[in-house]
Amino acid sequence: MSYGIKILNSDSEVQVDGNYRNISEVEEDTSATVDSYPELISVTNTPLVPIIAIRPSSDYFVTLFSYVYSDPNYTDFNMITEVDETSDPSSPPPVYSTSIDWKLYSETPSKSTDTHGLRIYNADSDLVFDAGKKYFNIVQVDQITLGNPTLPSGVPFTKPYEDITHSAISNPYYILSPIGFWWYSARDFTKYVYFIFRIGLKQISATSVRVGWFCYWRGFTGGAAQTGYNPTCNLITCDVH
Amino acid sequence: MSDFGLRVKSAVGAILLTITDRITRLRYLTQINADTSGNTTLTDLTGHSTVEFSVMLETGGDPLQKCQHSVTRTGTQIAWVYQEGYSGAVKVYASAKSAIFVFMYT
Repeated sequence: MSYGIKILNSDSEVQVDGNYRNISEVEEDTSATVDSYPELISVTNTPLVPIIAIRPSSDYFVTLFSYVYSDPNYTDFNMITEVDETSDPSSPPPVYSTSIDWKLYSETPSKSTDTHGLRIYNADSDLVFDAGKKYFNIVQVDQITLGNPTLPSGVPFTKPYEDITHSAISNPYYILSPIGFWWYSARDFTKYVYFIFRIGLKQISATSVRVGWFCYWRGFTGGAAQTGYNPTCNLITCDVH
Repeated sequence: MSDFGLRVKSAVGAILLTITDRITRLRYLTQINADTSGNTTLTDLTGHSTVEFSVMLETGGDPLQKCQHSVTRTGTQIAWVYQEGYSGAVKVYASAKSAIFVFMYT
């Protein structure tokens, strides 16, 4: 037997056993500003791979762009948001201002400071559950497939989106992956202008979120093209306890 | 409210773990270099629901036109494929280094 205790939920799904460690919250922030490309948000340096979940605002799309890794530590993460795609392409596009709440989870091999409750170790004496920690908890997983951004004649870009409802939980945190990439360039009088897009999130209500393409950069280029990577995305809706 | 199983509460009565939670376990985690595709077999995935995904890793340089790996599961195999794209001979987007995650939640 490889475990000393196994805890199942009401659907017979394993919550805690000795085979795998659970992931718990180690850092968070609220109302973090995102108003530049890219917005670099620092975390406490850690060699343990972080899992970062975000809660977007309702004004502009945002997406978690990348983790910054400087061997052997994860040091920051990058967020991006919408830009003014109608501005003069001869200078960097103005970035709209929004904010996010975020939580960082990772394996946490050290025990909490609590002196009461439940603490479970595996056969190697590694901590697998500690009642003093806030655990990463998937509430819902949705798969979303969007059309490509397009530019119908004479109107702004059409940027496909889909609204997702999670009635079981209010104001959750989300992980979205992959975030795709779409390039659209076209002739504008004597020059070619390009626009690039990613897939991001915007809050609709406490129990719903919009998943959609948004423009995060544009400039001049040498020719016309419409191409990119438009995958089916996983939207992971999370809660912590 | 369930009348069986385990419920863990904090000292002030907040529920930390209850019988309907899907507390999530990290099964597999690795870093994959840019321009590299591959796979691994995790035999213990049988009978479990998972969610697998990637996050782009920035190790220097602007990821403006870079993409993370796609990640898929077929049975017990987890596969990752790098992403790059061209317009004619011009590379429009390039592969990035990625962190690959596989979470089990049943």
